[in-house]
Amino acid sequence: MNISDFSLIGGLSKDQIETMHEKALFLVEEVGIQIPHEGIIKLLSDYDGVTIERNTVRFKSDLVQKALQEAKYDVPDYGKDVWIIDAGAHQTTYYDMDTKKLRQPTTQDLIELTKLGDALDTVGSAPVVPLDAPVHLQILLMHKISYEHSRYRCNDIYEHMDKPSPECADYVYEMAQAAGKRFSFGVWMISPRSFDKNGLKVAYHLLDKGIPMWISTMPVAGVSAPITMLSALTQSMFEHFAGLTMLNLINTKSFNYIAPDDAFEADPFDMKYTTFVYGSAEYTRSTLYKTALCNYYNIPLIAKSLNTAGKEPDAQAAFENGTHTLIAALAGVRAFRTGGVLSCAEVYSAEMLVICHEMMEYLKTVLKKEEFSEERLMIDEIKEVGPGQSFIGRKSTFQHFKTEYWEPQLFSHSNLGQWKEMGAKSLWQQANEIARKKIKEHEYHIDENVAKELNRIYAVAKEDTKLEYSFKYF
Amino acid sequence: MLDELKDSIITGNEEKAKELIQSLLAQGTAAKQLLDNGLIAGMDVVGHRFKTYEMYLPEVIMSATTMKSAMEILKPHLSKTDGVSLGKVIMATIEGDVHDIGKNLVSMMLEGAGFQVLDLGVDVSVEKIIAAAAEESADIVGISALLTTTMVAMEPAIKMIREKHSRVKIMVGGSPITQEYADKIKADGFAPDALRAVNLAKSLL
Repeated sequence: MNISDFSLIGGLSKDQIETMHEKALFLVEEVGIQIPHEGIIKLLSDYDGVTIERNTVRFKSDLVQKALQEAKYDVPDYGKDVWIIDAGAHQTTYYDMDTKKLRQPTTQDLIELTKLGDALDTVGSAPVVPLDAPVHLQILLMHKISYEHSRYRCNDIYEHMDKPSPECADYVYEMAQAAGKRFSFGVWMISPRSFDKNGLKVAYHLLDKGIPMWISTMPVAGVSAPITMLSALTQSMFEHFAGLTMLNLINTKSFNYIAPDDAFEADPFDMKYTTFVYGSAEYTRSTLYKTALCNYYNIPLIAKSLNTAGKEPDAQAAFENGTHTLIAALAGVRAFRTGGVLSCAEVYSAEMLVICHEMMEYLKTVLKKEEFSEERLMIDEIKEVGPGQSFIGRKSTFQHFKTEYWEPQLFSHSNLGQWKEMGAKSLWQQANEIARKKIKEHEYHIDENVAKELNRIYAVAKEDTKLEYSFKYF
Repeated sequence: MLDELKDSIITGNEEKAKELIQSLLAQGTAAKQLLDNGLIAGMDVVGHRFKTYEMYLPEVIMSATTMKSAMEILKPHLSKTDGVSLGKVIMATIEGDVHDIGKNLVSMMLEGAGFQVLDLGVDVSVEKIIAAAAEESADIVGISALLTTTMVAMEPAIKMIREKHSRVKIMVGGSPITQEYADKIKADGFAPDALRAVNLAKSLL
């Protein structure tokens, strides 16, 4: 028998969620969304329950309910019943490991950070964009390097990287096929109430391939959604519902879903600095709302709790990540985005990822399952050891101390004298050393034939002027 | 088999160590050789690994306990010149202080390293320490304190012990104690942890 898991109480009630649900359905049915793509409009026009006025499309609520019911979330086996860190989100600024200065990431950085992420069992997108490569090859490189140096990167339901043109999507699809990785495509809504035109173009292009597609939207409270968090969430639900319904009607050769990583996001905005504030108190609150909504719709829980407004691996970054993640974990979340990022996802830091990983181990220990039994009460031990004696030399201590106590790798428990003796290193220095060691010692090899095939596809892409031209639009 | 004996000390396998000692003695291996190349050699490794944070306290204690049990069997076979004990140490937590985890660790580590230890416990009066030192002809007195309020009692205690036993060496330790403080109160030595207390005790002899 285990002691009950710790949990949070409070938050959105079932009745409150159902009210938001009804209002979101009303908006899908009565207000509608813009779908700026002729081909998709034509496909949708074949369905009963779809009303089209120019680019504005409205769906009857039964179509929405059907889409919600048919949505499928294929969480891989390795992602079940464990704590997951989804690290990085293709950042374009890198916190240099040698100089601690901010600079543009390179292909070599991408390789090293992919190795580090793999050594720490992380999932998700490529950590940084290799800005030394031509723009039309960057996304291909990110996938190729992810496949070559990691087990989970750019794969499974945690993959959420853009494929900005049909040509780019085709190459990524080909590489994913060669590497045996899952390929999906996500369509982003641009709040309020419209789609990313280019995303629709790529989605339409991919319809024949029978690939999973997902919908995502991130309305910003007070900017692209009304100012109250509840209203922004309701708009988010409305946009997700409409987007999912559209996908469910047009992408019939595979399944569709609401992207769990950003499901029912309502992002806060700082009106002074005019920027997103992912590490803010409001964002933590938003995670709690999001978690309640995802539970209601049976969507896997992923919290973007490893994001921070901190600019360095510092106290702000640690506090924001720590509190947000603990609260999310108490709400039942076990998958956490975007480990290693700083400055609201502008910057990626290897040291910050190591700190996030350590923090996660700490929180896992706080919330670990614990058996309740008479054996664990150890009454006989208490009886046997007399006043003035010690339990340190007891066999039970010897046998169990490693399982009863978590041993940190980074958050050292040394005393002051020991810390001085070990070089009086700052937390950043220690994280830096761990990161370097893990990168150096990382070993993961893909099949030689797969590697050759990836190289061949990449070589073809490099010479493909159509691919290059497809990026001129951006 | 000597290597096995050494390993049994390192891994804290008490039963194995006892079996090996008996078996090696029966085969005619000299007791001194077992002591030096088995037990002490094993504890040296333990000490090193503890210092480099490769071994953990409960493991060290198990090794020390194993060493102590093995010594019980070995002792009758060692001659007076074999150096059964490195020296006699009186250990005590200073009067007014009832904290003993650190002091107990030092006692165990000293025993494991081959010292003969008389642990007087906690809240020990200086008179009791002086009497024990006389009775046991102690080489070293180890005094521990955890509190800043009790550590001040160390200075007069050291003075009084010196007046009665000018030959005995006095080492001090405990969380608030520093080398500077130990120097100020004229202790012969200070060690920040149990392992270094053993090294200090050896150097004081």
